[in-house]
Amino acid sequence: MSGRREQTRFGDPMSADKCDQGVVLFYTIHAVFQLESALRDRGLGSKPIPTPRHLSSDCGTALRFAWSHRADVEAEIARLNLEIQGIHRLDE
Amino acid sequence: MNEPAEQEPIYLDHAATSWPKPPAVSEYVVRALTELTANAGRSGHGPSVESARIVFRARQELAALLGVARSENVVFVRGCTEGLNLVIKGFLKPGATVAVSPMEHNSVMRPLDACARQRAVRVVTLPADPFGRIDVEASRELARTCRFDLAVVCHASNVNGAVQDVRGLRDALPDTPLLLDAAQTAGVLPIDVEREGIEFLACSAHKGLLGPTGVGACYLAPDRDVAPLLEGGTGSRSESTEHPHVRPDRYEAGTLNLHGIAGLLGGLQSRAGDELIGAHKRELNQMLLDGLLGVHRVRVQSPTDGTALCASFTIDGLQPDEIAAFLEREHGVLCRPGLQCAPAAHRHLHTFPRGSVRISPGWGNTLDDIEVALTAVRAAAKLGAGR
Repeated sequence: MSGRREQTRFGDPMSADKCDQGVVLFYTIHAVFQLESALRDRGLGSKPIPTPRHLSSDCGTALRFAWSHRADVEAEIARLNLEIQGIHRLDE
Repeated sequence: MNEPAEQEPIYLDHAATSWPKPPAVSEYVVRALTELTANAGRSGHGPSVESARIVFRARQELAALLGVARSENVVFVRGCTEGLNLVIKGFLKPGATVAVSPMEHNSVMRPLDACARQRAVRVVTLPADPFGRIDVEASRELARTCRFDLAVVCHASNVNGAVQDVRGLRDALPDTPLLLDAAQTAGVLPIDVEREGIEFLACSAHKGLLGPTGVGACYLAPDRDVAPLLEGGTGSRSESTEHPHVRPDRYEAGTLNLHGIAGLLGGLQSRAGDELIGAHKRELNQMLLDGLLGVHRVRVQSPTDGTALCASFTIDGLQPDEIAAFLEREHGVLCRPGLQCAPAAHRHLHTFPRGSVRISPGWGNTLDDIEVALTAVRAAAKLGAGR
């Protein structure tokens, strides 16, 4: 469970520059956690973030990941049969 | 006014709600209330995301317990009653025919009654034995001449604890979608909805799952279309006024009961592996029933073959509420008299309209508790002998 302390260690697993990151947009936060969990099982970090406004007017949550892991992310999305709005590179 | 019993109360009303709760339940509720939590999945900031993660974890754990592969098909509702209403009102079309067991609670019979009045839905009671257990072969015969659009069956009766043969019923009505009312059995008896071909299931958090009140869950098979009871904000697809179709959001409009769901997660995590409490309940209940069978003037309405989850009985010459009041006042035994919100079941058991006394053991009870309850019933029966 989370608290204020949890929030401060809401650690970004990817300290790389913004241009090296991608984001998956979903229709439900449930799918965000499904993918985050699957990526964690593969040893890949990711982070739920507010959906970037320049990509969607949705007020929901997206999942940020290292762009270099894009193929793994897409493979997990396909394996889990997740419905997504799209995958974007954050410097687009 | 009667003086309260001096002895410690013995809680034997687990069919109404479980008590005590595992320590993790209150711990999780308190943490959700006192640590920084937010509206789950609404805002994108850390506490909102972490609150949604609590919901996700509870959903995952409950799905695993119920044999659901994809947890988005388990949706949170306010309680078992809301889950039953969701399926009955969201699935049945006008003119539909519904099969029920004779033991259904009013949480099933009342929404069906409303559908009968508003949508010309027809309700057919399946043949059953004197304890209300569905006669599988007779139901198979009935299904040859009557097409059912839905079967609604309480897995275990809240009145006499009789458990239905779900696999047999599934086999007898292979083409009929089945809604299982698991109010008395989730967390108590093994349930594997996808393996057993159960299309819908509703349960509450506060009984066999040992969580708090105010939360329930409903399983909806992925290939079954059910209209939601509510539309509204979900934290997703906010740009549209059209309600989302994606699960679980489709069925979870409005702010979720995060604190209740956190408590449910505590209850689920208190279990060792897939531990269920049915064996313990059955052992205590059978001891109780064996004792009741030997008490003069006591009539038992529960199966006594070791399968029942609670005990229903009456005492000649005494009203059920008199008996329950005596048990509490003189012996500290807490139970439930009357119709237990299941008049249809009491009609079948021939105990309508007075009802019966229900004693329902749970996970925290011991053999000593049952001995006290039996001593109390024996004393009550002597009281009735003078009438």
